[in-house]
Amino acid sequence: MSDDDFLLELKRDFVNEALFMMEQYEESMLALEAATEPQEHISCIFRVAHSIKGGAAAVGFEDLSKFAHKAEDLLSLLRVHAEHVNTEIITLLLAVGDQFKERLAQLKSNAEKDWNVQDLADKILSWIEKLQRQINSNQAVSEKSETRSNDELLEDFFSAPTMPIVEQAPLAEEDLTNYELLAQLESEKSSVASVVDQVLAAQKEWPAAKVEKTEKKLVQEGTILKVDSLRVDSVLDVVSEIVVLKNQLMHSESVRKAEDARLNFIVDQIDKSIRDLYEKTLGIRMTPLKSLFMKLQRTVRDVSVKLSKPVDLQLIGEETEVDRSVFELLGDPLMHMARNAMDHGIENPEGRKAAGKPATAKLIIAAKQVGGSVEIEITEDGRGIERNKIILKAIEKGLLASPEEGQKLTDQQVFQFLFAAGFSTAEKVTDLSGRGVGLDVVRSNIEKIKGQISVESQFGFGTKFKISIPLTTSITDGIVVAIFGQRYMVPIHSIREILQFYDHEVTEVARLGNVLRIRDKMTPILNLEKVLNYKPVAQILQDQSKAIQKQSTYVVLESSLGLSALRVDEVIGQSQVVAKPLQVGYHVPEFSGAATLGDGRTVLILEPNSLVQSGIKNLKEVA
Amino acid sequence: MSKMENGRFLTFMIRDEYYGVPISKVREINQMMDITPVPKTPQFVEGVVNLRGKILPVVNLREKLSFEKKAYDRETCIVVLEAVVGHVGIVVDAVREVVDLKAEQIEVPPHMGDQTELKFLSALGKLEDKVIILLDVDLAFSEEAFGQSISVQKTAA
Repeated sequence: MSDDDFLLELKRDFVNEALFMMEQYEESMLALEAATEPQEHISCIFRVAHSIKGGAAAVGFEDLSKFAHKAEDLLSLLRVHAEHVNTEIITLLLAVGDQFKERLAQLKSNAEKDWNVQDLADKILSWIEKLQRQINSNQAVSEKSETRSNDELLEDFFSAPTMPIVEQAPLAEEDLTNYELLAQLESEKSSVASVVDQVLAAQKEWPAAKVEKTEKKLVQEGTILKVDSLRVDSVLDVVSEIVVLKNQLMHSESVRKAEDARLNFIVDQIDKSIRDLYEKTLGIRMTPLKSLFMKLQRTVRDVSVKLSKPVDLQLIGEETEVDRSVFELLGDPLMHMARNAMDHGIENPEGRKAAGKPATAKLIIAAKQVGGSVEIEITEDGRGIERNKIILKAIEKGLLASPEEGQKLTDQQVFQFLFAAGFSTAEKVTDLSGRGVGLDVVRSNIEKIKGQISVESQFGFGTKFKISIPLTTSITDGIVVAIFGQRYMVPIHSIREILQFYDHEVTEVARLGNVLRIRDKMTPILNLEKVLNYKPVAQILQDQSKAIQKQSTYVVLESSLGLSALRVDEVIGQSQVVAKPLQVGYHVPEFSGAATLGDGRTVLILEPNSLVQSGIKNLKEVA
Repeated sequence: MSKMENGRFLTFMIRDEYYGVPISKVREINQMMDITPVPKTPQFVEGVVNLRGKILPVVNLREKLSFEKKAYDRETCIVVLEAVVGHVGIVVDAVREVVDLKAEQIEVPPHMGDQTELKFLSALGKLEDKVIILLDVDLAFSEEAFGQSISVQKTAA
């Protein structure tokens, strides 16, 4: 490896490490606001700023290091005088964190953009000065005010836990140089400093804690492994393949008919172990919602300050786990909905008072696992959704013909209009929401992860959005069917039912093609030959002509465009598979991917929405 | 036209001719396996296979070169190539040896590659006893190559 490569790798490591630490930073920031004992959180934030300073300098990110240094100066002051922490400082520190993240993201993507933090740096400096003045005036010159020598300072510094001098001897003007020296010393002795911090934080629990003990604790806590998600995915790939091979082995003639008891035993054990291995591997990809909830907390806080709407935010079930792939796609919609709730749902304090509600609004975001899916509810006690307003808007947008028609709909149906594209009832567009690209994007994002979204609302009392998403998108549960002699998988979540019909029960309707009458509902039959460009094989045609009086099996598909029936030769069985994308130069929207069945055969997974869509397109072309 | 560099080439047969691809582009060679056809893809796309958990497309090279198809036999192989679009398998009649071609043994005949659809046949390798037709993998299996053929097929249908 050349020196350049080495430096590059160091830089990459640093950026990843720092981004990871920023999560701690944010976590502590948010805890700080509610904390009665802010000191330990400040210490944690300090450590992060400190590590970024040191790390950034080491790999040559000078600007980041300098900025971190300034933040560290402020934090080291606050660490000792935690009582001075106020909302303004928290906002400042949050902004500092944002800048850290911004710069780190830039460095990660190699996008060298301008990074101007001068204003923020000046703000930090002015706060440092302000705090110094406050501290000096608050605490009258103490009994120990004589200037201590550097040596004494050093001694004290290393003889933690009876730490800081600064605490006992408040800073007089002439102490400043010593203080600065101390700060510098700290930055150079990073390992020692973090131990000292640890001791400080732990002081309350173990007043007589020794430094060595704390070191042990540090090691024990460090059991979290950071692994590149691509690596986990590649392990999962291999494990899935082992599962398939195992299934083939178990289904092979010679194993099934084997009379060798030992062989049977081994195969049995392999089966169990591999299943276990598979489940555990899947488990690695599971991520708790915690970090997402932290982001939500942050967003809600920012919006609350910005709109001057005090809110009491409750987060429930942050330990609920979802697959990484789901997790990544869940962030944006949730963030959007939290913002929506703050902006549109919750009234301003005056409005709330007028409605006889407490000025501080309630916002509850709760997650829980229900079977194979996770439910997330976002509930607020705001103004609620006005049914008639939506009906009027729907008429205006051409989604409804008349108010009478609107009145016939259930609340649930009316609220569904909120998710239509370009539908926004906000009276004024704010910079937070109300551009009409809101809920429809939320819905499409949720549908991307095979989830569902619904609303309940009582006008005047509040609104509840409910999202239900599968635990994982990497496993598809489906029914394997044969169509024209070829096997396909239909995802189970889009199957309404599977029915048998005699061929004479199929009605041909002009322009609609063939339809089935299912419980008095006319359901179109998908013409798969056309949709998939099948060139019907002669033999199959013969079979069909012979089978006029025969019963056929239909899979009734549920799609965003309504129900439709899919005629299949045969239903083969149910299977759980790991869906793989069909990723090459060509794109066939009718298939969401491919998967390997237990017997080693590859099947294509049908995508009902696109199937129905192209079915409709075909009809239009014919007409 | 992209330049064919000298080096080692894997040779294989289509009909009675020798073809070659740079060994650096060859990922592995497999016996024929079950191919799942994918509707609505170009004719030359035979379908997809599952290669140890990865789903990859398989192209029938005979079809792509506009030759008649041939029933698979014991010698039929799937050569997995690393193309710009990802891994692509090609069905070839039989795999032969790996040969070393020096720069002076590689010739770009001016008349070849005039046909846009066949421009991936980029050069000829000359050995004492035979001529090897060299394939430019990236050209043959570029995103356009797949995309274009789809549109061609659509207008034909």
